[in-house]
Parts: sequence; C-alpha cells; structure tokens
Amino acid sequence: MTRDDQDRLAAEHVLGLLEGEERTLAERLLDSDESFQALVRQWRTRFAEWDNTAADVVPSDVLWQQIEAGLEAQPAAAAVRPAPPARRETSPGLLQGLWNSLAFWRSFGMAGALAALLLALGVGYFADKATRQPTLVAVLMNEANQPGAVLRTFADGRAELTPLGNMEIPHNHSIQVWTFPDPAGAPVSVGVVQTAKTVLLELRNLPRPHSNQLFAISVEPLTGSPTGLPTGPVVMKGTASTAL
Amino acid sequence: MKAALGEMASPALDLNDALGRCARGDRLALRAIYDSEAPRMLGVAMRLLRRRALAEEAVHDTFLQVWRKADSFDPARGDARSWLYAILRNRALNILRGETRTDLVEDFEPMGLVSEEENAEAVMMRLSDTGSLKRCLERLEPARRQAITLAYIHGLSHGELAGRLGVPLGTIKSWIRRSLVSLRECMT
Repeated sequence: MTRDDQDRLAAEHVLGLLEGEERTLAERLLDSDESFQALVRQWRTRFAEWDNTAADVVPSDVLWQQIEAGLEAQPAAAAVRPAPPARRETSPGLLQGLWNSLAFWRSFGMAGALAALLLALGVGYFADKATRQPTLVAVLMNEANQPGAVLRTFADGRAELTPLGNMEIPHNHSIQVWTFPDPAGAPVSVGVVQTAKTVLLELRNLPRPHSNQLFAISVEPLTGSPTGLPTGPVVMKGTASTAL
Repeated sequence: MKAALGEMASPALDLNDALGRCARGDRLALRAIYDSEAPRMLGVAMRLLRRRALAEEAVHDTFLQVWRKADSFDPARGDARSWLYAILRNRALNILRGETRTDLVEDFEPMGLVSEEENAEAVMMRLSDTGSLKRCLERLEPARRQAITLAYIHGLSHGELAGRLGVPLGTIKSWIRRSLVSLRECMT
C-alpha cells in the first residue's frame, strides 16, 4: 500500500466513511502501525476545527451521575487492582454502579417487558415449557416503546410470534416479520401475518438465529412486500436474547 | 452565538494536566473535563446521532473510556482535545452504524428531541477565519465541500451522500478522495 493510499485510508477513517474490509484494515493498522497512527492524528487535527462549530447542548442533570456510577464499576487503570470477582459482586460500589448504569436499566427494561409477557401468556406456557423451551426470545417494542409482540425461536428452527395488547393490522394490509441474520446485511422476511394472533414462522432456511439478532415488523400490502424488502413503515422492532 | 462560544472558551482548563490527574485516579479532574467539554461533546454527538438519548449515551461511554484510558494518553503524541473527540467520534460512529442498520425508518423519537440537519455552508460560516480548514475548504467546489462536510459532521456514508447530493456512488467516492488530496496539500 502506497503512502498516498494509507493517507487516504487514514482520512476516510477519521471521516467515518470506511466500510467492510477497508474498515477492518484501518482498525488493524491503527492498532499496530505507527506511521498510520501518525497519519490519523494529522487528519484528526485538521478536521478538529469542525468540532468547534457544533452548538453546545447542556447535558441532562443525571448524565454526570450516570458517568460517576459507571466509574464505581470500573476502577481507573492506575487505581488499585480490581478486587476478586466474589468481592466485587457484593461491593456496594458495584451495586450502586449497576443501579445507575444505562446498560443495566436497558436490560432491566427488557426483562420487565419479558416478565409482563410471561404473565400475559399465562399458566399454559409454563405447563408446556418443559417440552417447548424457546432458545431465544425477542420482545418487539412499538413506537410508544411498549412491548407490541414477542417472538420466540425454538431449537427445531420454528419460531412463534405472539402479538400483545391491542395490536391492529391496518385494513387491507398485512404485517411482515423481518430479521437480520447478518447485522450488516439486508433484512430477510420470515413471514407475512394477516391477523393479530399467535402464528408460526419459518426460520429453518436461515442461519441459526443468534442473541442480539434484530427482528422487525413492517406494514405491507396484504400479500407481503412486493420487493422482498420492507416497503412500509416499521412498527415494531427488538433484539433476541437467549432464553434461560 | 458568538458570545456563547466565547463563554465556553473562557474557563481554560489544562486538559493535559487534567488527563494526567485522571490517570492517577482523581475524579475531580474527570469532573473538570466534563464541566468544560461535555456541552460541546454533546453537541458534536447530537449532529452525528440526532437523538438526544443516543448522544448522551455516546458522551457517557466516552467519559468512562477517558477514565479508563487516561494513562495511555501521551501529550507528546498529540493534542488532548483531539484525543477526547476521537474517542467520542469513534463511539458515536459505532452507535450510528449499529443504529442505521436497524432503523428502517426514523420515526421512533418524539418530535423535538431530534436535531435538525445542518447545512454545510452554515457550518462553513462558523469555522474560524484564523484556522486553515475554512480557507482550504473554500478552494473546493461547493458540492464537494458539502460532501466532505456532511460526512464529517453528520456521519453520512458514501451511499447516503450519493442519495443526498443526487450523484452516483462512484462520483461521491472520487469527490471525497480528490477533496482529501486538496485539503492535505492546502493544510500542510
């Protein structure tokens, strides 16, 4: 790679324009190659003036508290070595860190949605559970950030979609369920649904779904999207988590 | 606007010194960086991510990384401020990439929390007259200037730029490349 190529790669890395192989290459060079690091630093300095054109936005009052709570959970590099795991779990600092951590609350929100859902599904679910343990569960949240449907995948490649609450499908339309087996790739349809009730979906032709895989539902013509990609608005989405 | 920018600049914090103190575990130093830089950082993150909640998440994650990595910052190898903003931009761009993949339509945030897209020429006007970026951008054709500005401040991809500016993808790529060559010549 010529010096000019490296320089272009460094600049496009700083701009955030790299994708795919070039992005991986730039990240590798940034970790290992001092001359590349120097090129990146030069471009950062050249472009830094743009950062000064952003209007100041006053952070919300809790942002600093959340950062400070995050510090509890991860001591500074130079501070004492982390206590052994057994002690860390019981340390009040860590608990307080969790209490304030964005990520924790985010997962707690999902867990709460899941708990509500399990209640909604009722006793039948539990009676059936031994034989029909789902492998992954995705709670799809609607525009109002409320659980709108739940999707469960099973070890045999089937999946089940259960709409929640008062989901309505617009007249003369369907909802179509999509997933992203490759997070960087195009969505793939896994089923078209005309009535709001629990339905089976077919995932057998797709790579085995993984946790964090995204599922989304769009509104489509009655027979599904004519293009093979979502054409209507996305009304719900959520990522899958491993069912324990 | 000028006055607001002026006020921000006045409490001159020695970032090198503050990062050194962070590396030694001094939380007050991190707080001082926060007080001095967080509003600007949030502004930069808002331009990239549009949504306040995501932008605050990027700033949150950035400060945790600053705390964790403060001891790896070497003042001899670059300016403290650009080190801070590099962490912020990396984090925000990663969030942006993750989000745009998943967001098929942008209708999930209530009105008012989403920042407006800024016009590249307006951004030009706010660049300092004394810095070289403005002078060197002025040498580019307006459409090319717009492409590179939108890429940096809003994190638009080649494909998004092509759509926005109504030109083929290959054209955008060569515009960006030529603009970079011109900027490098002009700014060194």
